[in-house]
Amino acid sequence: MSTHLAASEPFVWPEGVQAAASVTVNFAGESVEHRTMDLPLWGRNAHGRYGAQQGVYNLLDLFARYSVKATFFIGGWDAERYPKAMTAIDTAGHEIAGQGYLYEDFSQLSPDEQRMALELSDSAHERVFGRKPLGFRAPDRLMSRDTRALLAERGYRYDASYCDDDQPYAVDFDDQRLAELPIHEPWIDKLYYEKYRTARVVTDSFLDEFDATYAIGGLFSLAIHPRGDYGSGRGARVRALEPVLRSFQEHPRLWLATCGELADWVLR
Amino acid sequence: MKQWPNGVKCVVLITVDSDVTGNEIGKGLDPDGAHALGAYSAKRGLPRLLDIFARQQIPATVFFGGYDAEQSPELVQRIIAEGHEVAAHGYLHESWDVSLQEEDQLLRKTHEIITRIAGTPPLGWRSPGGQKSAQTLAVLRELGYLYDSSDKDYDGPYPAVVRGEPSDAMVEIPNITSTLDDYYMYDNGAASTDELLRLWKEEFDALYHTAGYFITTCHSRSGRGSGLPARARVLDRLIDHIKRYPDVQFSRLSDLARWCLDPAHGFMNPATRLGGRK
Repeated sequence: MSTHLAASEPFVWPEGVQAAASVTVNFAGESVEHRTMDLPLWGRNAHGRYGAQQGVYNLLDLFARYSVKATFFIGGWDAERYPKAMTAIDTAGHEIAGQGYLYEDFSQLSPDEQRMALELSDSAHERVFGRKPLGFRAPDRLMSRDTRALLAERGYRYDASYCDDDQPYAVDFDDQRLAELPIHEPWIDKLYYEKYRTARVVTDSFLDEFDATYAIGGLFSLAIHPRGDYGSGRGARVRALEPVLRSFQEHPRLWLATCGELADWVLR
Repeated sequence: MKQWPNGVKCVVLITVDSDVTGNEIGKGLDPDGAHALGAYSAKRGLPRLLDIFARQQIPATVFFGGYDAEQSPELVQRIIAEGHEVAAHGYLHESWDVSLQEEDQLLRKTHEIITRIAGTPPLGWRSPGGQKSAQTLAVLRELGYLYDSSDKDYDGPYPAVVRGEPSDAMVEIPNITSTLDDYYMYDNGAASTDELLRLWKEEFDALYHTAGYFITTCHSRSGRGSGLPARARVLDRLIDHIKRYPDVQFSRLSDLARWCLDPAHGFMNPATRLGGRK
């Protein structure tokens, strides 16, 4: 699959819609640490556990207060490790999508190794949620030129990892069509917090990025983590998201949708 | 007494490093997922910045790698057609040391590609990673280049040093680290748009009143650059801000280089030239 460098056709949103937004959560539990360390993960290496046993609930409360339906990208290993959190996410009506098995770096895996990670993830999701994921975001959005074709091959409907457009687009494979829902670095909490920035900077950035994306009629995807280190699951960082969610509500021509709903529109 | 083209108080040089997919290809990375930053430059970021320059009616200088120019010839041609300048920026964004022989080949290869696509030879060059070899400027001079814009060592242009001697035919037009959009700010600094706009305004005000030389390097990629809607808007607002100052001239780098090289301005004469190398 070669990379396309020509701009897509102007995007058409549903009647009455000026722009779209989605709230996405990269669950990134202890799988992040477990990839490189042996369990148990104590002390400062417990940031993924913070997300799984506290941060995710703080975010679920926030979403309930603002009536937001979010999309959670969850690796198979994390899904099986935290059944209580999974039930809480699922029963609240949020969308659940895939993020590999053990937070693999898909850009470093062969196509067969990627197939294996997707197989492990799909079967874990089936055991935990009773269904396979239809959407995917690569861990840290790292993927190879083959990954989207492999997703299409397995029946996925969308990817949400690329940063190459302002709007969703469709990618055609042999007999499969995949929706791409682009996401950009400045819309991800991790990119600020891992560089020691404050919650205030994150709020300011998200608000302005959303405002400008709305103005051009694009898709703005907020991407946050429940984690304790570079995530938004705690205290002032949860609050830092409130002005953004309020701004969503103040834009009547905004379509706030899950990734699955956006993919349905792209693939209609 | 400082002299600038048309007697202005400050020259303003808006430059864009287009950095399409060649940066990742050159590092052996697939330009996919998080590494699709460069594709955004060609699809959205660079066209958006060109739209802003057209509306603001200002000339800009866009640096292109040879590989990227081959991949996006229509963008190169649009830049030229709209009165801007296309300058060279490596072949695959070689931000690492290459052998002298390889460097020579890459400089010539990129020169040939841009000349063929743009219909006019590039007159300037900027090192992708900031490094040069002892022969770089000599090869570029032989190819007819008028300036290099890689160094970060002076608040204004000066005669470039070619084979160890100040040249009378080539100008160094330094780009300044503190006015880059990415390095200290969007990239390593994870800055908000407000923070970059404030920094740029402060830098412009200081340089307007002192050096009379303001150059900024933007990137049109996603993420660390100024290509996304909110970030492009910051550059647009900076241009609005600069236009409020009297006696300012926006210039392409080649126009400034030509002015410096014109013997009538005495710039290349060590005894009378502006600035002078420390």
